[in-house]
Amino acid sequence: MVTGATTTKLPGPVPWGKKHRMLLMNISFWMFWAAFPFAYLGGVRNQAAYIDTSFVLFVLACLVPLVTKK
Amino acid sequence: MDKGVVLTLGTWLLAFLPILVLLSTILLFRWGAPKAGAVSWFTAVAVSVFVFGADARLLALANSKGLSLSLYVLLIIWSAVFLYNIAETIGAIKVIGNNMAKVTDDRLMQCLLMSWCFSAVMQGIAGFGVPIAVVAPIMVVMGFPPAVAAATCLIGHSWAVTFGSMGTGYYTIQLITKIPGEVFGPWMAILFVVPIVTTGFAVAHIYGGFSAVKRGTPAIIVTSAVMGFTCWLMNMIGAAQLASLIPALLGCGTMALMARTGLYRGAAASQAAGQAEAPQGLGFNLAFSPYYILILVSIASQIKGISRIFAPYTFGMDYPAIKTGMNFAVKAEKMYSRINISHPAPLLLMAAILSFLVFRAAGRWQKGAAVKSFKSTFSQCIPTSVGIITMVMMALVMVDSGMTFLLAQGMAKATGKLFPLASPFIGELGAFLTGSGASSNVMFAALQVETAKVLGISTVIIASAQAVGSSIGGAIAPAKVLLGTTLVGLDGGENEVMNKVLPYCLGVALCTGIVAWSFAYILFRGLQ
Repeated sequence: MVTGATTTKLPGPVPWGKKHRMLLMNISFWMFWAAFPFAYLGGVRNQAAYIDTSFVLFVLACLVPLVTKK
Repeated sequence: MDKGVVLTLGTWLLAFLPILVLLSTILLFRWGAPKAGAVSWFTAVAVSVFVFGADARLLALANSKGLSLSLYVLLIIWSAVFLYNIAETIGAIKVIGNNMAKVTDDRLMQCLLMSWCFSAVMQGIAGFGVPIAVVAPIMVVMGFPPAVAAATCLIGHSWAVTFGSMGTGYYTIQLITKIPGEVFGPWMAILFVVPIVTTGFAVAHIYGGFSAVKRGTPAIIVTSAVMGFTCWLMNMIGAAQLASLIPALLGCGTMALMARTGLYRGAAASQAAGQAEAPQGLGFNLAFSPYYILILVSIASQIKGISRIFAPYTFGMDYPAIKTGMNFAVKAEKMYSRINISHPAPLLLMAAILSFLVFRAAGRWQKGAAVKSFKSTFSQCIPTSVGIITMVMMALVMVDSGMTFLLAQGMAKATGKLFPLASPFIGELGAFLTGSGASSNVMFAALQVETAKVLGISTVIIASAQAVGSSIGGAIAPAKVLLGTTLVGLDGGENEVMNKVLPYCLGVALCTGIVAWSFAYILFRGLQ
C-alpha cells in the first residue's frame, strides 16, 4: 500500500442523462411548442392528421425528461 | 348541463390518481418537476381516455389550452428572471438585501417583514409570481437559506392573492357567483383574517420552529390586527382592489415599528447576519429602481385610459365547446388565457428596458450585462418551463375530461353538513392545478355556491371560503414553487420547498374551514 494514499473514492463516469440534461430539456421544451399549432388546429378543425402529429410530439417531449437524471 | 362520469369512490380515486402521482413522485421519490410532471401527464391522459371518455380531439384541445396557459405563466417567469438577472448583474440585489437588513437586525422580524408583508405589497400591485420573483432572491442575499426564502415567500404572500393584482380574484368570484361586492366583500375580509394570522405564524414556524412562533407572536398579532382591519375597511368603503395593497403597506410599517420595540431589539445582536459584498457607490434607491419602475408601470397599467390605448394589443386563443364520451360538457372559450397590457410580462420587460436606461444614465450599466442576463435566464428557465408545461397540461386534461369537477363534487357530497370544512380545500385544489386564484374561482365558485344552496347554508360564507382556499392554494401550485426554486438557485429542489409549504397550506385551509363552518351553522345562520 502506498504511504499517505487517501481512500477517497474517485468520481465515476457522469451518467448520460445527467451529462446531457440541459440539451435534453431544450429538445423537450421546443418539441412542446412544435406540437402546439398541430394540437390547436387539429382540435379546432377536427383534423385527425394534425391531432396525431401533436400526440407523437407530446409523447416524445414527455418521454425526454424521463431519461434525464433528477 | 355538465354530467360526466357517475360519482363513486372508485371513479373519485381514479380522478385523484394524477395528483397522487404528481405529489408522490415529487415528495416521496424526490423527482424533479419535469419528470414528475411528465409521468402525471401520462397518467391523466390514460385515466381520461379509459375512464372519463375523452377522445383524441378533446385531448388535443385540452393540451393546447395547457400550452396557452403555460405560455401565460412562462412569459411571467422568463421576464421576472430576466429582470432579476439584470439587477443581479449590476449588483443591485446585494444593495437591496443589505439595506432591507438594516430595517431591523432581528432575523425573525426580517423574515416576517419581507415574506409576509413586503411580498404582499408586491402581490397587491403585480400579479402571479412577481412577489416570489422579487422577494425570495433578496432574502437569499440577506442570508436566509434558499429553501426557507422560497417557502416563506410562497406561504407569506398567499393571503394577499384574492384582493391582490388590483382585485382580480375578487372580481372573478363576484362575476361567477353573482353576489354583489358590497354584500360579499366585507364578509370575505372577515374570513380572510384567518389566513392573515395563520400565514404569519406559518412564516415564523418555517423560519425557526416553535421558539420563533413564540417570540414572533406579539408582532404577528399586532400586524395581523392592522392588516385584517384595513382589509375589512377597504371592502366597507368599496375599494376592494386595494384590500391587499394598503393592508400590506401598513403591515410593513407596523412590522418595522414592532422591530424597534424592546421586544425585538434585545436579541438582535446575536442574530444579525453578515452583509453581502455590495458594489461601491450604488445607493438603495438606484438599486431598487427596477422595482420602483415595476410598481409604477403596474399602477399605470390599471389606469383605464392607458389600458384602453393598449386594448387592441391583446393575445388569446378561441376554443370550441366539446363533450366527452361520458357527456361532460366543456364550454367554448373566447380569448383563452388572455395576454394584454395588464399581464405582468410586458410590465416586467418594460421595467427591464427602463431600468437599463436608468442604470446607463447613472453610469452603472456594465457592457454585456443584457446578453449575460439573457443567457443566464435561458439556462435557468428551460428545465422549469418543461416542468410547468407538463403539469399545466396534466391539469387541463383533468379539467376538460371532468376529473376535476368529479373531485370537487365528491368532496362536497362526502362532507354533507361538514361542507364548509371542505370548501377551502376545493378552492386550494383549483389553485394548485392552475396556479391562479382567479382560475380556481372560475372552476369551482359556482359549484360551491350551488352546494351551499342545496345544504341551505350561507352562499356568502361558502364563496368566501372558496376565495380563501383559492388564495392559499397558489402557494403549493407547482408553477409558483418552480418559480421560487429557480430564482433562489434550487433547480431540482422543488420537493424540499413543497415539503416545507404543504403542511401549512393544508393547516390554513383547515382553520378557515372550521371558522367558515362555525359562521355557517352557529354564528351567522341567517346570512344570505
